[in-house]
Amino acid sequence: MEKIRFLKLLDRLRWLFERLGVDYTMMRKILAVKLLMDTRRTPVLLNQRTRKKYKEGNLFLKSLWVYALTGLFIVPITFIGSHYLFKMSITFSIILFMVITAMIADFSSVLLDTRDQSILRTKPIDAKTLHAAKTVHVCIYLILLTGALALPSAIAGLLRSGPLFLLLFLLNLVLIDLISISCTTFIYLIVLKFFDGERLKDVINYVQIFLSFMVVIGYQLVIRAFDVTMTNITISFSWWQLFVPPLWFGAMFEWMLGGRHTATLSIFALLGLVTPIVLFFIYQKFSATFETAIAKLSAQEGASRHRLGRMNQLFGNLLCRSQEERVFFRFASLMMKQDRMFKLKVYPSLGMSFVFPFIFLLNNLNGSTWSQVSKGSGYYYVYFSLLLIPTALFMLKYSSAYKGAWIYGTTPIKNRTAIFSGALKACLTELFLPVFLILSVLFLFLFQWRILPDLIAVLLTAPIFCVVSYHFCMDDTLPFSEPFDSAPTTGNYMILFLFLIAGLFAATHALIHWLFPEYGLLIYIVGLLIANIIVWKTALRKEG
Amino acid sequence: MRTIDREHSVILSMEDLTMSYGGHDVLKGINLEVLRGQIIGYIGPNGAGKSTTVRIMLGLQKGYGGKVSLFGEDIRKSGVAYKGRIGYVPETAEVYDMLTAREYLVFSGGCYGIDEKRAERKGRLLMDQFGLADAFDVRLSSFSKGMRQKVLIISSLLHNPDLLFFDEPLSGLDANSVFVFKEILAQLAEQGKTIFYSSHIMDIVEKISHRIVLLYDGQIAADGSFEELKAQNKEGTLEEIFNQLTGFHQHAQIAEDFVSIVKEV
Repeated sequence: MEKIRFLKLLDRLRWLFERLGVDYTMMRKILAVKLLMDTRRTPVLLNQRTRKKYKEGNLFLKSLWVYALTGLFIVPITFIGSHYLFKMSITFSIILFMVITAMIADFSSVLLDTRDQSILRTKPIDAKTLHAAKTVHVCIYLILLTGALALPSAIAGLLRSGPLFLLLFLLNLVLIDLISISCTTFIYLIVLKFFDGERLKDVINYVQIFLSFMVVIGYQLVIRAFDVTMTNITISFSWWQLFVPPLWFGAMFEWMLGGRHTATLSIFALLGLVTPIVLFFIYQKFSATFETAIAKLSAQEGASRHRLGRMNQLFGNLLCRSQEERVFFRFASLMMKQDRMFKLKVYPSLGMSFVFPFIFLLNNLNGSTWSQVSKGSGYYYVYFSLLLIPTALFMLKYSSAYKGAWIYGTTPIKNRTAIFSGALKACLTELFLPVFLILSVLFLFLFQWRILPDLIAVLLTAPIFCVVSYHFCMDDTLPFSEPFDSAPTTGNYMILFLFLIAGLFAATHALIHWLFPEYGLLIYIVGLLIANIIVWKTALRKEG
Repeated sequence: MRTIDREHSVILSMEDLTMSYGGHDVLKGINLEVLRGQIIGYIGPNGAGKSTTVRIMLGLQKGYGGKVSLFGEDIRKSGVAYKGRIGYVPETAEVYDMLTAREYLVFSGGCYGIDEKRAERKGRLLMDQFGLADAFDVRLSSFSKGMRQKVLIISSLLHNPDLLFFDEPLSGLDANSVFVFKEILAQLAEQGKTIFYSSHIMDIVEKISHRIVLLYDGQIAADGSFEELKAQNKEGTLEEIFNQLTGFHQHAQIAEDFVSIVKEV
């Protein structure tokens, strides 16, 4: 069995844990149980109608190949020239990005598990040991994840640059894992110190969303640190780059393998070596504080501050034809607003849909002025706002309160279609519409009124795309009726496929605009309107 | 001849215990001393501070004022070892429900330092007594509420603790099991175990407790045997005493209003 192998390996580090004051035997017991439970994260079938056979096994281990596949895509980077600083910084930013995202979205629950409070803390287990168990638990997964992700690059590097490369690479991977786990924990600790009750849960949620969003931006920073032209790559050092970890690791490579030993490079490389280790020691010091602080999470106080506004009511009346559908529209809106886990999984992509158009615009800006850009066709980037739809729909069937789904069964619902159409409409108005409207206003400033028809076309595309996505992302499972545990952790290729479809819509739009500059767009809009009516009338219908 | 040394028979004591969350005082100075072999019925309205005191005693809640001693030692200083002498059934009834009953009991016993074989044997025998022998290798997630509660009770007793905290331990249990459990409590107390029994079901508390402690608004509003409380308050049942002490008289009016609202639709 897998877990036994992990634990056997771990036994060799026994002395280290004992040196740190951890009760090793106890930690091993906790770990064994936690790993055993992970292999059972399969849903107890709630939905008897879909008799799928769930195979037992660790869902995470099964998703590792997705990481390995992503790792393959990084390999070509190691072959770009001999500029180590550049190529390794990029490689490490991608790895760091993947690791932190996984850490926040998938493994935070291990660190913040409140069940451990009443089950484990009431037994004679000290906080340090419990925290060590959690840390090792997360580390096992992080190591596997980074391993899968970095393996292709490691092999490629070994073949191209020799064994020193491999050693350095492995060292850096360990450092990256240390940084990710200690940084996330620190941030949680700070939040746990300052907030209480429901407010605390909200803040943690926002921090998580913000973090996953920041890594995307950070990734852009790395690229921006370099001035890439066709012939050579240069870096202009400035102070803020000291805070961009991938550059540290890149610098280490440049120093060791590239043979450039400038003062700045040395500082960067040193930072990369020292910071993670220092962080980890501080992390270890605070472990007991952290465990005590988590107790706050299980305290239930304070009222929820999330309410649905007037707008939601207006849209509900406007978009929903039957009373039943309106009920489910409001229900879905509330669930999406209240469920922190749902927000954590979906909101980062909301932020990205919003930021991507601008990132691409900025990339286009290279060398040209804003006024030139405003005459161009950069407004097509508005189509990026569609990308949040598949992500949201994919998560729609999951909920932290999935057990409440019995209510679908016991209430006399006449029309099951209403459950789905209400939820889809809520998705569009609560998630897509705000992003789209803000983008539109900003783009109208940039590109002037001439793009208004284009924006309308995008707005009308969204509901159609929503229905298309619905067919690919959701099976017959009712919304909010399965636990998040059963959601695959990463890499849903269906979503990538839908991104392509969104691109297809954008291409059609552009093509029509180009072929028939006069009335083409108007006809397209009318066409979309009719398509909307047909699609929403027919495509969602459910029997029974 | 048996001499009871008071120093040794005080299992639990709280001195001026206070606690506040964000400016709101939850506990306003609680003084309580509990002797060995007592069953304490620990009652009070929702939000009176019952679970907070239990959480403090289990070391889950820090930042309290005053002093709490268990088995004669201040829990601020005594480390975690004292928890090995406590058994706990939480109200929330949380378990790792992906595990089977066997796995859960072996793990739980292991946390108290019982070796695997012994925990398994003991767990199986106790499950058998509760009529759950067939469910030993079934995952807890498919257990009914009552079955799960029985597993929690077994797991709290596996290591033969001296002090027990039971928070609403009977929820979901059928009448026969309740009958058995009440008898178990009485016998455990006879053997010198101290039991802290928290519940909202007053007639059970009334019957099983040697001593009743009523917490109201962060303070002890009443403390004594049922007979003593009855004499002081001139009321017939614990439920009525509870209503009187917590100043609740409007039940008839509220019920009437409630039903009339239901009828409206």
